[in-house]
Amino acid sequence: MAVRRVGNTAAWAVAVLLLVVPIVVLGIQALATGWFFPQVTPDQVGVGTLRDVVADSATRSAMGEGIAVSALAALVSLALAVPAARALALGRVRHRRAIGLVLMVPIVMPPLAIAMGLNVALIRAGVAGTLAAVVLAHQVATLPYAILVLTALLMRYDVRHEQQAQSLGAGTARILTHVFLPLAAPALIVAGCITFIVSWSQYLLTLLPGAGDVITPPILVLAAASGGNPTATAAIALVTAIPPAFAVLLALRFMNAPPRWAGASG
Amino acid sequence: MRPPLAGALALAPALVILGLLVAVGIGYAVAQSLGMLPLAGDAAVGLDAYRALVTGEGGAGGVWGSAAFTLWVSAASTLVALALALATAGWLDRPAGRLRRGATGVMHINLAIPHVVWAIGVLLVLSQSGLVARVAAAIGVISEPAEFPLLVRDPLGIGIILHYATKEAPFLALVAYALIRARPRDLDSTARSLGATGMQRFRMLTLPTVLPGLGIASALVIAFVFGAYEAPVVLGMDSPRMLSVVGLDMFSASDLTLRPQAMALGVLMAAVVMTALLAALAIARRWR
Amino acid sequence: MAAVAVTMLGGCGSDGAQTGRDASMQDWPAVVAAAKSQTVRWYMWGGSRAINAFVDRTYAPALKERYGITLKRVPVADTIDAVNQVLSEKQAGANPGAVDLIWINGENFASLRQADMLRTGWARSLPNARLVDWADPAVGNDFGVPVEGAESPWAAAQFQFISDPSRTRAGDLPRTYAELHRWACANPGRVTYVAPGPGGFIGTRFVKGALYELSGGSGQWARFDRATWERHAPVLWEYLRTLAPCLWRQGATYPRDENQLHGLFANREVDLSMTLATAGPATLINEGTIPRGATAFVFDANMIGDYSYVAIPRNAPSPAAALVTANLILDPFLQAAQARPGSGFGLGFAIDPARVTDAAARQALRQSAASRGAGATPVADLTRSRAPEADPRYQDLIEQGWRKNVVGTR
Repeated sequence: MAVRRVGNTAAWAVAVLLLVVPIVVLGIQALATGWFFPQVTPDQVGVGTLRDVVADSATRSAMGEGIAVSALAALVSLALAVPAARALALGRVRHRRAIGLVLMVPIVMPPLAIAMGLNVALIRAGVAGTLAAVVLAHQVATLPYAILVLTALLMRYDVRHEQQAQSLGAGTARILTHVFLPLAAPALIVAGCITFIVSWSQYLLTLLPGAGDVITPPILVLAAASGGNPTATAAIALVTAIPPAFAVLLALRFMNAPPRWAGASG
Repeated sequence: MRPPLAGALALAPALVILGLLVAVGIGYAVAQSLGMLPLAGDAAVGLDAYRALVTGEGGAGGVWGSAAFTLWVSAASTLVALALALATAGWLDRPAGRLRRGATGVMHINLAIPHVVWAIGVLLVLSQSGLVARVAAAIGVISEPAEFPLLVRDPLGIGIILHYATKEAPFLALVAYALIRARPRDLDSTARSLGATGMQRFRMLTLPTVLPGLGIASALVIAFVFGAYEAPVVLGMDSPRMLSVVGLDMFSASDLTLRPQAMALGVLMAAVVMTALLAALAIARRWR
Repeated sequence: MAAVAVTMLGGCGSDGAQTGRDASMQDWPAVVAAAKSQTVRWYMWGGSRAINAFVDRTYAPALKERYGITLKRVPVADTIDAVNQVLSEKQAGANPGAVDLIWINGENFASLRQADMLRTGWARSLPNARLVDWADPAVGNDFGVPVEGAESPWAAAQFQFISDPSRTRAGDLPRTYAELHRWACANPGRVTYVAPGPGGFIGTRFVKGALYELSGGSGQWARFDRATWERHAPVLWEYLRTLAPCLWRQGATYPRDENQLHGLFANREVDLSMTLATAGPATLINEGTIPRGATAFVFDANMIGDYSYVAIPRNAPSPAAALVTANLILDPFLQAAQARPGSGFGLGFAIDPARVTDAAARQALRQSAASRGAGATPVADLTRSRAPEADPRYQDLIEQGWRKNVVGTR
């Protein structure tokens, strides 16, 4: 029994190490200058470069555009996903599995193939390089996840609350705004956060539809990675990882909260 | 009574938008790959771009090598990720509350980190002058970077494989974990009281529970790595390159005649993935 | 006055290509007035943080405060991307286009001149043009192609190597390409160079230097001659092919650009790096890209030096602002600032300090020249080893030939 526990702890330690070491090293590199082989610990440590990176207009602009794009993409995805998830979770839609598979097609497709074609289409339509174009392009990656996650979460939704409201004569709009939204709010927040994270990480689906005019954090980080200053690269990488990390913590908080509509703990 | 906004029509907006985006994206890619809507010169409709791509003339040389390399990296990454996920899912099941929450928390944060950030981290750790190499030098195992094994920017794509293995394993582990949690509790204690060992319980209870769900998740992972760009660009070599890198290089090249070939590559990649998906579904259906 | 300005700004082809002077530019105040509240989009190679920072933090505020011009720096991975942008605009008939100003020289300049997509005749008419030694053939000719007022100089550069004295003694360093070959093979895996190609122009320069030495001199390469190329190219490829197995990673792969090479050098994977900064490695050291103590040095000859310029496309949307910017970067105080490794990016002056009359400006230039920083190559060495660039038509031949003959792809 004790041996097994030690083995578990060891395995757990290894896994955490694998997951944590790269981020820790990024953190050290972001604060260290002149940290070259064979130094294991850096000689010169300081927040100068980090401060420069945060104050840099290119960083701020990219972070701003990233937040705008991902927040909008999440909102659009949610707006489209709510009816779809309701149909899949609450309704009696036939061929549910088939629809699930159809939804996976956009996730599975190589983003390059879709992004190149969208680039051409958007240029011809004259809207390439706009925020809206990028938000639209991101739906290819975000909408399927939004639907799948929201559907899974809504499986635990007790539709009887709505039926009660219906029997009392409430109309569709009232039911959705006064019954569904408050009760499903945690699920919506979780789905929104996950969508935000998926959108934040997109590179090809931003680069090509954005036609070089929309610069989001992944584009900035990749450009910095080919620059000469490893400290600045690490600093930018870390700073741009903060919003999605925030989003996931937010999602975890609402995922672990017991759903208000369920009976016993789910 | 049927709940409002839950009929089949409620699915329409989402499916229409997705359908349009995919159709337009692939459609224009197909059109340009066939020579229609050219950027320069007149339209010369035909399979020239595909021919050039496949025979390797006209600047596309090595697309077969890239394809083989991409398949190898996708498969290897997914297998390693799967192995790591199964290993951790097993003991994620232990009732140790705080430890488990901490571990799942770490896994979730890993999921949130953008791929490009993770790739840079992997580079810093595993390159020949990276952290592990420096520790090796400090304890005297090596004396210069060249003596450290080549793990990133290497011809086998080891760095890329490790990147996706460590990035996708948490995803697969969380899927497995959710599936295990959904399993009835008493099965496990019954098996234990009947004398089944850990290994036996794992093989006969855990694996069958998680394998179908993990199968689909793994299919997602392998398709994702197949079409990926960010990590290969940071962690890969000039040659062999992964297919998305080849594609974007051709798309952005100053030689505009490479554009149709880039589109052709995209179309072929999409076709490969769709075919594989359909084949996997057919196999899964027969298996059941 | 305004009519003159409008004519010039409309780009109605008043070339003045003969004299290199655009008569309508006599009215500089009108140009400045037209430029006010315009935005100038300056396309430039984005691979140097120091240059980017200098442009953003020095030129941009200066343009804003002095002229009310907004500067938008557009980074490109290689100047060819900006060239292609203009060329595709030409094809699409886009006027105005998207590009106001390009940091350009060499074969890129030649291709846009050939496509007749550059404004001509303006460079000699800028107020600060009198500070430039246009009589110097190195300035008046870009890779041997006459400038003809179609571009204005910005900075001077010269190819140098960088070494770390704590790893290699100055006396042991190679001083010719032949010595480099022997040195590399005596220390296998400790040397490499940047792959010639887009974004790797420093690699092309390295290879060109080898070509000069192997062919007996740089003079014959000033004019394009097929026969000369056919005669000497095989020797060049042979040299590089026999060098390859002694290189880092046995020549299986090469750094894609100078930043990757700096990274290898800093992390002790190789012992030599390369730079074009006439002020030496100080800028790179200040950035933290390479370790303190790194020192620049030159071979005895064949170290290519040249000028960088800015050019204005014919279909520029804000030509007045572009002209003002081109003039601003020649300002003696700004030239002095750019060359200083601490605040600037360490490339040399485009103006001739002897032509500067203002005492304070002369002082600033003198101080800048004196503060090149430790590790800079002595000016005498730079001058002695400098070689001119070759005809631009050799650029593609070298880059593609390298891929085919040395690496064996495409």
